[in-house]
Amino acid sequence: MTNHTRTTAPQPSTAASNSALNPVLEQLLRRKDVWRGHATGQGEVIDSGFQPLNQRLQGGGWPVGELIDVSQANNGHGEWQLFSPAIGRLSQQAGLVVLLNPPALPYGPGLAQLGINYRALRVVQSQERQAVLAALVDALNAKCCLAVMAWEGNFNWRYAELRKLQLAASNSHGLCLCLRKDRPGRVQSPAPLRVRGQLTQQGLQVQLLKQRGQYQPQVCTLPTPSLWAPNHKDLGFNTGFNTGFNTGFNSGINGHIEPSQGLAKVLTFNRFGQARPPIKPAPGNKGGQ
Amino acid sequence: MLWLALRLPQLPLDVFTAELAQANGNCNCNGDNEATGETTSESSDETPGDNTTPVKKNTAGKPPLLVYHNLRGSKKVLHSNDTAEALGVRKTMSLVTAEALLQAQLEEQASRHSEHQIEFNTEPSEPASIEHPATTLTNPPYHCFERDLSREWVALQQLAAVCYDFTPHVSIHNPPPLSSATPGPSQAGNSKAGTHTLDAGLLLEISGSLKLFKGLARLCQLLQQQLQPWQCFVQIGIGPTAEGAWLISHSRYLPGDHYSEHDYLQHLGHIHLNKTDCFTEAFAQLSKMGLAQLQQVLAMPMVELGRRFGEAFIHYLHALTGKHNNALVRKAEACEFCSRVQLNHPVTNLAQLQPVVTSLLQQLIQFLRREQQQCEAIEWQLLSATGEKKTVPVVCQPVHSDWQLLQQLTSIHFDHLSINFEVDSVELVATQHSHFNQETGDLFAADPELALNQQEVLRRWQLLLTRLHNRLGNSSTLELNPLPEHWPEQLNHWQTSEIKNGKNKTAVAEPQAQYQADDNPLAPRPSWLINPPVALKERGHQLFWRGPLTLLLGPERLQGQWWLPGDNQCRDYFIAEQDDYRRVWVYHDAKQKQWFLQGVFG
Repeated sequence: MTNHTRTTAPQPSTAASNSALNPVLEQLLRRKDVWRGHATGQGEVIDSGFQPLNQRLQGGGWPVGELIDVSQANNGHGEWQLFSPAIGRLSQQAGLVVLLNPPALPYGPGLAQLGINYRALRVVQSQERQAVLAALVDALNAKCCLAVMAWEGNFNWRYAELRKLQLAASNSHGLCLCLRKDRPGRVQSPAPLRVRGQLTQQGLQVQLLKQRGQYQPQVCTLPTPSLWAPNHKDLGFNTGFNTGFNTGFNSGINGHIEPSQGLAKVLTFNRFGQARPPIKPAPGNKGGQ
Repeated sequence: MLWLALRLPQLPLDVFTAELAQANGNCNCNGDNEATGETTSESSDETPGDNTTPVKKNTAGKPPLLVYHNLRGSKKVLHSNDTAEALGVRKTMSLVTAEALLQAQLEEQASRHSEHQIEFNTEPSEPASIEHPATTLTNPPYHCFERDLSREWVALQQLAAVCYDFTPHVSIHNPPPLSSATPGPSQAGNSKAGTHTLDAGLLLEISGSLKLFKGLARLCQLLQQQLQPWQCFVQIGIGPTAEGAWLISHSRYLPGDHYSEHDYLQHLGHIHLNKTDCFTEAFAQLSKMGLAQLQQVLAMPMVELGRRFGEAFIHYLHALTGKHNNALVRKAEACEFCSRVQLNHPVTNLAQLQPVVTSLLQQLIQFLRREQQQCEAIEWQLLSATGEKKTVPVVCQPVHSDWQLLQQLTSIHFDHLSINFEVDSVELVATQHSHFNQETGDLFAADPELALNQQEVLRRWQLLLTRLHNRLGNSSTLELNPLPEHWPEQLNHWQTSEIKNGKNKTAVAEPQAQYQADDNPLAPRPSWLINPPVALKERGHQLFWRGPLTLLLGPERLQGQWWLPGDNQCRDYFIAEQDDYRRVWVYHDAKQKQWFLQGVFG
């Protein structure tokens, strides 16, 4: 594919010496799924959009044609935040992004704000275990999907099933994400790359639990998207102009909201930095803590 | 235009001749020569292995065969083969008379034969006469059938299918008057068998096929070779119009590669008036006036003929001479595909049906190619000998020639199908098909393996969608089509992806033609939408949803649809945070005075 966001990982240093090897061994070493210690893979990668993460990922990005096992404490813990830069760029190309059994329906305007072309999205839903696996394999083999995101849900996929997905992913040319919840009794995964996402006060904490050539888990924290709610509670600028009622809830909203006479959306967020003097952000503590 | 007419004057007889030949395994060359009749004898010097023998000499060893029909309550002989005619059977003869005649003649022949054997047999121990008694014991001395219009219709359909290999413009002329267009077990058509005596046949427009088949003579030769297995007596006629070709097929006019209008008119003029099967009353009157051949009619003033017999008659004469030609319109024939295979032994393991499935699908593809159709849905019917039935519908994207795709889709269903009876027969029905819509490809398109373009993505997506629909159901796949609505749950409209046929195929995305949902880029929007919204609990000025919620940012007011009675809602949206730092989208409904959660920032 002609994609400037895709790069090829550097060849392993031992490649030059392969010419002297046994032809069978040489053929074996050409496979991507042969573990070679510290040597990085030879496959394509896609820029993750986060420099700290790229530095920790083998090859400098998300691997293409490999199963990426993403574990989360719960749905909504940064799955779009983590993959939206890569998927956003992919969705601008000719191709589709298939979501299999997502926990809810994606919201088009929200994805558009993350840079994702929501018209390239397709959602597939089914509650039959074997049919879902077969459909997932079909999607990976269809060669029209730039990314496939599959949510495990309540299926609790077995090792053999995940292995089947890994084999199917190795035939594809896109991102293959398997999103699973952290739960007791969770089986080990044959995925070459295992990632765990967890929202923290500082942002999205990403743990690289497993990848080829890595012995110890690596951790980095990614910032929250700037458009999402900032870590402050001072909304005086907004409430001072428009609000007409006191919510009285545990928040920083103390003004009154004037009922509008408009037809539709009458109030929008007045964000900082929009020809307005900067406001000192409030401490990031929450009401519950 | 150039028309080729295939007249089948003995079709009522030929359908039984072919059947008897198949039953007896009689496939010798003599039978083939007899079947193709006069046209074969004309091309016999070009066909290798084709013996140039007169028709009557080739009938030796064949039992007499006659076909009768009910003519006003009495059974009359309609057609008889040459053996029967040699024994004295004639058309319009009473069936009783014909049978008595055949019986008497055959007995006489048998007695002569035995006398001959006794007289010349020098070795009494040799059973020389075994063949004849055995023949008479196992096979009846003669065959007598009532005319079967259904079989004639099926035979015409099969012959038309053969002719589609030569031209797409094939039509059946003087079809048997069945009650319905499709042949079936109903014998309703037989009630009309007595009144229908016109020759049936086929009309082919071949002007566009001459170059492909390297000339008219070679085309006719190939056509005759293709028709040989049907063992039909065929008369071929070539003419500039369908009417002319049909009529001139009486005169056995085969011009070869040098067709000229002058020769055609010369042969046409020599046709006798009683050969015509149109305007029979008009031609009968002309015969009474002393006219015998068509050239005499054509020599008469057309104005006078028009006054006497009407404009339609003049139109017909002009069509015969090529002065008037109808527009070439391919008739929309009722074409359906339904084929059944009877298994040799009952089957419970559906994997054993694979050869049958393949065979039926290849038949379907042949049908689609022949009829220039594309198939969008098929249906398998697994039937048992005791009447149990299992129907398996298979949906697909438009298929014209890719039977492997249909086989794969069928396997998707059969792999997970459980049946509790033994399958005795398998039937395939094309439940949905339409005219083939050929796609226009890009001549300079990039290699699809190297770079995906929008058309290639669409094609592959349709393939994937077909598989998904067969695996998961037709409503399993959704795509976003945002609507210009105020409320998020209405704006975020996910519709079912449909398999598109070739006619309404569009690109994957047409942004200019669709509503842009991201109209307010400054307001944060969640990535997941919870629909319907979840009501939040309030306890002591604190909102709860799987733990306490903290409002971080807001409000953003959505108010609208005041023009709808009872729908004047006002929502104030906030971004809130959970204990685990997950951010959600909540709103306060001023009308219901209730807080709801509607989205999650993933």
